[in-house]
Amino acid sequence: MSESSVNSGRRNFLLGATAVVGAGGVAGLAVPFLGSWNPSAKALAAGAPIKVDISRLEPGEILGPIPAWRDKPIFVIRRSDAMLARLNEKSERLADPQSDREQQPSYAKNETRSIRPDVAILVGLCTHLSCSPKYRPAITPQSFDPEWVGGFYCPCHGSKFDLAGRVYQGVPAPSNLEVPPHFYETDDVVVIGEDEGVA
Amino acid sequence: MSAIEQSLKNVMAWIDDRLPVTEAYEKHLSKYYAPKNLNIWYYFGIFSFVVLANQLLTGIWLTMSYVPTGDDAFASVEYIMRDVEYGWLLRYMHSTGASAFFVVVYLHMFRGLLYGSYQKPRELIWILGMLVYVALMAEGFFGYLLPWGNMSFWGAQVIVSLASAIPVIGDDLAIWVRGDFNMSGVTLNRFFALHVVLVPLFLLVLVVLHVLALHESVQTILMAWILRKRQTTRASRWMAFRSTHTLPSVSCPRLLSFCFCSVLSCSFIPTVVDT
Repeated sequence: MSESSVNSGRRNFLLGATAVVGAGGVAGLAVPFLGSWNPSAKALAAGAPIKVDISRLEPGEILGPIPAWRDKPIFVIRRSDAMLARLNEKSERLADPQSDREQQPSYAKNETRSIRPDVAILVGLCTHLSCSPKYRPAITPQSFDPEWVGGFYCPCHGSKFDLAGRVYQGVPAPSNLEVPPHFYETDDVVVIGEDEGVA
Repeated sequence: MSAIEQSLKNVMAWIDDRLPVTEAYEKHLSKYYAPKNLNIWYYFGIFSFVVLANQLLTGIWLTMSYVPTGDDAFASVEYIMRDVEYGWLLRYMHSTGASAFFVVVYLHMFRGLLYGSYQKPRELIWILGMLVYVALMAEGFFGYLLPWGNMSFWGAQVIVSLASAIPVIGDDLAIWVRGDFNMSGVTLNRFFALHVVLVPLFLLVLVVLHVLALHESVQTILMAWILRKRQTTRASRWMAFRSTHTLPSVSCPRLLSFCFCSVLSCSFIPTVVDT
């Protein structure tokens, strides 16, 4: 044999085959390294859906910020009939009255932004810079709004939301408050953090 | 196409004028000649590279979840084993890999003794290798403390107390090494720093020197031999030969290691009780 008799076809085949097998090995080896960056079982447990008993929540009252879901405060409000009656009275003042922006699951894209008209479930973080807005249910003139019909007021930069979490026009917040995925296990128990039928 | 090739060539030429990348690549890889008749004993050097890479990667990944404090170390290891996705595999790859490292290195050293690889002009390769071995033992010892269990505690206790056998200064030396009058979180924290930063740095530098020294003498000897015998056919280029011949065999210890890991994990997986 001499250098000129090198079977370059066979050599290239061997190199190619080695490269393919090697790439397969690297891909397999990458699985545990990439996988270990996923949320751990501990993080998943901490971020699991929460159950909230709303049986003792009176009309007009708010539960919140109740034990947070994934570190976000959650507002649960039972709206009175009077509140609901005035909800769409001044929808021309709202930036997105039909909830066209996807700030809610499809089952909460309705006039009250909720599954049940009386119960509103919202992520209690202003969509501007994530302060927690204050619950101001009184239907009386306020220092920040003489025509206030009840809702949420963010003390940081003055963003205003109605009792369905819909943002007013002309405030810093760009969109409605987020509605988290949720469903009712019973009339009194709501599961927050999960759509119905997932688990 | 040729325009791209030409500009790539220009870029490489520009770099090569300032940093001998191509020269180093040819010297150590593409034109590094190795005898075709290297037997299996000569594989353990590259095997130890594989294990080293395994130790570095899994080790870095373990530090992502490990907490080097006296209060949290043990719990964080439990967390790695039970809660982190594939954490058990990464940890077993690291601890089993450490054992594999020594197995591979002992066989590598045995080859050196068997074939007289330490003889002139390769004395420095052997000496550097011995230093690598010392660094490796230090690395293993410091790492053994990190799980912060009973075995770690007594292992470190015994080894550190070796220092106290030194006359006159022994007791003070042991206290200085521990940074405390007994094994404590202070000791754990400094051993962690040594295990993940200082000793690995030493190890990597020594390994580079070890390989550079090897390539120096192999090139000299082999090229002289080739020129003398005009037997160019008995040598082949690294990329063509070493990759296709030794890489498949590299997968064998990997396979063994994975088998070992799975066996170990079976004994570990806790009985999950549904509540």
